[in-house]
Amino acid sequence: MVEIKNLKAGYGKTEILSGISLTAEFGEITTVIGANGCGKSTLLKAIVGLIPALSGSIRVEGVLVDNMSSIERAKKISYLPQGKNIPDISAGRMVLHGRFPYLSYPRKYRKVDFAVVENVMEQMGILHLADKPLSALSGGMRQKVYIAAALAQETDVIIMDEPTTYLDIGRQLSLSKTVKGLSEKGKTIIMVLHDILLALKISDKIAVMENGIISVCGTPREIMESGITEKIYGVSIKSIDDGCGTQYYYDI
Amino acid sequence: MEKNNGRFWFLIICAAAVCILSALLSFCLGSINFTPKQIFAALIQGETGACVNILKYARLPRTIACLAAGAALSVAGAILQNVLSNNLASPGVIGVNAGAGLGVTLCCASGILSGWAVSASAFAGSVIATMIITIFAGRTGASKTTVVLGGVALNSILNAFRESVTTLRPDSAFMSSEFRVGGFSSVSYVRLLPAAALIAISLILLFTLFNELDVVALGDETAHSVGLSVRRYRIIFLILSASLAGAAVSFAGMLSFVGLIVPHLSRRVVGNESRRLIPFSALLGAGFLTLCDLAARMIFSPYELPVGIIMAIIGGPAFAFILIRRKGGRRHG
Repeated sequence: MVEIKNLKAGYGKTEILSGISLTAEFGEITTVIGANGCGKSTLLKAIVGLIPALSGSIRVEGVLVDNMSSIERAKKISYLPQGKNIPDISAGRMVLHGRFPYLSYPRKYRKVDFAVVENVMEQMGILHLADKPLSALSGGMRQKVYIAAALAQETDVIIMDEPTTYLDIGRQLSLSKTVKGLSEKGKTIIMVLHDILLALKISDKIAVMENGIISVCGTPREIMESGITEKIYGVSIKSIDDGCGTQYYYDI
Repeated sequence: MEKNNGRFWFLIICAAAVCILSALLSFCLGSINFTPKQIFAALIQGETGACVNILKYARLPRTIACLAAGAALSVAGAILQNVLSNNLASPGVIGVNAGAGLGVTLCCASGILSGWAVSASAFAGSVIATMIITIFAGRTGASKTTVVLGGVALNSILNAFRESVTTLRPDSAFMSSEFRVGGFSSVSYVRLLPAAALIAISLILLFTLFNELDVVALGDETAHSVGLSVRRYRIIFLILSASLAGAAVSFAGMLSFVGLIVPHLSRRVVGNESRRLIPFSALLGAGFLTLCDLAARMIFSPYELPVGIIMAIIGGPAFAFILIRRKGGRRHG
């Protein structure tokens, strides 16, 4: 579980987050949405310690993130940034680097690390890509490799910044199933999504950000009914129950 | 996983064979030619005489210098390329060699000519140049082009300072023209041994940090996510590359091509993973530089060209050829 209380953070003296409080529960998907520049990515970076908190607190399983060493933090939280380098290494090696926090100097990967990597790559259905260069994979497959690396990191909390960016609709849906599967296995997922309908479809909780604060937070239905999307994006959203679940659509 | 190990070990053995062969040729060939049997008798069985002195005090230090400088500059280039995420980075391009050159020239201008002092000043010069370029990279958001352009500017500034010192204190130009292009004709144990020790220590340290180097190359945010202190390790790697390049420059002069071309070639052959790239670059660089030095000695014998000239003549077109061939299927861009 991740508990954020009255968090203020920013870059240098510029405050971007002006008092964020949010709780992401164990085994749930919490999605942060909001207009460009409202501070969504900054919030994720503050949670993983990439930018320091000016005030407030972030706790993972009751422990203050500020009090954790970088290795302790890496064993609790994994983070998939938005604009990642595409290193020219094999997919298997990329996933293996997820085991980095478990090594001590001189850091040599052990048999147990290779076993974990094989296991998570098999789970993600990408074991056959282990020897392929990361740069030769499609965007969707590459995203699965990064998620496999996060799984190899064996953290309870997985944070993803726009994991569906640059993916076609088929791969977006495939990725959302993967994320759903992770939450069902008990992982706490916090992610930023631009696709509101996808966020409504797969999230357990949605936090809507405006100008560095969370203006509304609730279940997808509560978010839809609050009318906040009309205020922020100028479109209202409706839903229909088709027997297989709730489907959301833009009311244009 | 790890299917390519067999191929890699085959390539490593080939590179090691080239290294050994080039070292043997460097021992045997020159103004006086020796057979392997004579070399064995002189170095192992302790024979004495003029020929033995040539082997012990000219050929041996020269061969060690070629191997050490080739390995050091190639590995320094490979580290810089990974840490700065820029395949154009190399000690010669971004001013590390020029920093070492200025350090050596200032040391000589102040009248200190001991081997340790020359090595230490080269190291200090290269570390200062590396720190300047790192701060510059940090301030400018580390854009790939900007770092290289900044490095080119730093190169010019440091070389201008070095030339000024040489002009004002002609005594400091004790190895002037050869130092500028790089060469081994004036190598002696006094200058070689401290630098070789620094190179050996840096390489041993680096060989325990391959995974850290790969994780730094994943990018700041991903590296941070897996618990690596990016800033600390970036500084460690920059100091290691500066010590390798600085030590090499202290006795070999400002050789520029080897630190750029060998890591490029190595990446194409064994890929980007440090545990493969660094040992292969070290062996390839050592063998390549030793062969170039041999060519520099032999082509116009008894006259000798500085090895930097030979490397530019061979390396320049070879590098251009690689770039042209790569145009169709670029992956490392």
